[in-house]
Amino acid sequence: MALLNRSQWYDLARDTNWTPSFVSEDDLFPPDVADPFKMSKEAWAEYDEPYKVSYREYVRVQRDKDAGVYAVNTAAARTRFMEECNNRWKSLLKFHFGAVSLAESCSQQSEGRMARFGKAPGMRNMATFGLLDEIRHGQSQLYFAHDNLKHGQTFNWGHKLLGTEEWGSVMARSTLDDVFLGRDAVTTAIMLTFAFETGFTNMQFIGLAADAAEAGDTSFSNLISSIQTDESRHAQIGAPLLKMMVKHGLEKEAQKAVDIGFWRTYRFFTLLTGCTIDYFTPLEKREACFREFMEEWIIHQFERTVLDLGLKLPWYWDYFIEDINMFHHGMQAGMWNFRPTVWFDVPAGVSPRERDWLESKYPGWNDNWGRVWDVITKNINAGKPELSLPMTMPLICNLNNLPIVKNPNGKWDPDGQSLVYKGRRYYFQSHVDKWVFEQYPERYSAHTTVTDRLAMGQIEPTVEGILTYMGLSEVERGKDAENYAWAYAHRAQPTKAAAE
Amino acid sequence: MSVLPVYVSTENDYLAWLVAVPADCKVSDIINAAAGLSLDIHVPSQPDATLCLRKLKEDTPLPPDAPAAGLIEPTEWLHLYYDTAAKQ
Repeated sequence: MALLNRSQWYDLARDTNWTPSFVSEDDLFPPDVADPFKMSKEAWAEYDEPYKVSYREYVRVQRDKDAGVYAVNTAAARTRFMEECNNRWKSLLKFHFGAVSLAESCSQQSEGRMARFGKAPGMRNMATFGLLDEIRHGQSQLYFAHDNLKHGQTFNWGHKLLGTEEWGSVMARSTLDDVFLGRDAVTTAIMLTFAFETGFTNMQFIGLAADAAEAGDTSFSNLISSIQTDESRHAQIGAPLLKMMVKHGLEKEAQKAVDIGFWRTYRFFTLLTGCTIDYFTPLEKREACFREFMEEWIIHQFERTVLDLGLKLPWYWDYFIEDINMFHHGMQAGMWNFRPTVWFDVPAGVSPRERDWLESKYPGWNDNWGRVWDVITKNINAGKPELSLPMTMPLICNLNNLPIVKNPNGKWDPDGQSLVYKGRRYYFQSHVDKWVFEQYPERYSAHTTVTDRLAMGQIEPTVEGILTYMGLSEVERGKDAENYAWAYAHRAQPTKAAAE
Repeated sequence: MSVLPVYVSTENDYLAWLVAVPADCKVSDIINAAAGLSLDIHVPSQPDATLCLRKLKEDTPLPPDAPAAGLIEPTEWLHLYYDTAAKQ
């Protein structure tokens, strides 16, 4: 008997909606978790997933992908790359596995919510495959992190991080909980698959894969490229929903979800991707700078997608374009200053040649961020590295849970950076973070940052007390990744700016 | 001993800092504590100027000899800055 082509049976087979008779529609799909916007049945019937695949096809392709990933890993082990790569590359891997492995794994819950409560059968199908994808991503990245334990004990933070009160963990959990673990199925589809995955995972997985291939880490490059092929498929769950919402008069609600999801995601990836691309990756292996990746993947591609769907650019777009030249430089300086509070050794990434590169990519970098590093470099060369280690905690944003930073030459923004809600003061990185808080103050107001907890007396007020609270034993705390070689290099070889 | 936690930003720094001082301290104690927590970035030596403290949203300096209690609330954001005129 001849087999039908997929296109001949797919629409019929995937249409598993029926009219419930034993329970009400709202019992089957409670609006709070399924569709708080209450789109009509007719509207939901229009949902058309752009990527169609059957279970048989999915399994065959995924099996081949996995076989490839593990085969390359086995072959790459023979090249002894991990034995021979420098400490900063190992730091980059530890950072990635810590931030990403369990985050991917927990997004199974988000895909599961869309698979159960999505009101269109096509959405449920796509999300079911998305759920299987995330199981694969969690397992494969945990496998690779575990496989690397012989190259560094703190590769175990691929599994450990999200269970600690380390500041990066608090930031990651607050973002993930808000963007995709604590939302209804429709908003999850917009914030996770459209905002988080359409733009930003491209940058982390494709941008970093390119740098990894260039650096000779074929195993890691192949792993994250393979993951990205899944992301690009299930990232398409949200766009048809946005199209539906615009068509059925819910443009304002759709826009708000995009604006919030995009901003929260941007902050998350700025720390992770911005610092690794511009500071961790060895200079000679960098394909482009963070700003250039942002321009390609976000400003050009995401911008076009948003407009094509009939939405507007987020209201803060001009500020966002300015911010990509500033925020991650502050994150990098802070992460290096607070290096004992992370589970990997932090490369400063500011040797004379690297500073010249930063100045060429971010004109004015030396006048702004360079002045901070000048003081640090001077202290290290004077034999006083302890002056670069903080003795207290920085003020942390009550929305994004990252330290509040500004350009060292800039001004603080008192009106845009704080508010009082029900008698408690809240501080923010920017007026955009503050705006997100103001949209759902009850959602965010009970949360405390690590610094809030210190100020409230919940953490022993000593450096040791803080590090222990964060789950970092003495051997797990980060140091300078190059034992200050980058600072000593400034004695012999000044930057172009200093030479002039 | 009860503690007054405040946040202090300083000129030329890129971070603002948690500074915890005894609740019965003076404004000048906060100035000294904040300067002592310096990473040598925010408060470089500037002998011809006076180090002042003000509330982030206000322009006038807080009187250094005044008690902090009643003047400054817990978790307020203060700003440490140089005033060259005050020294002259």
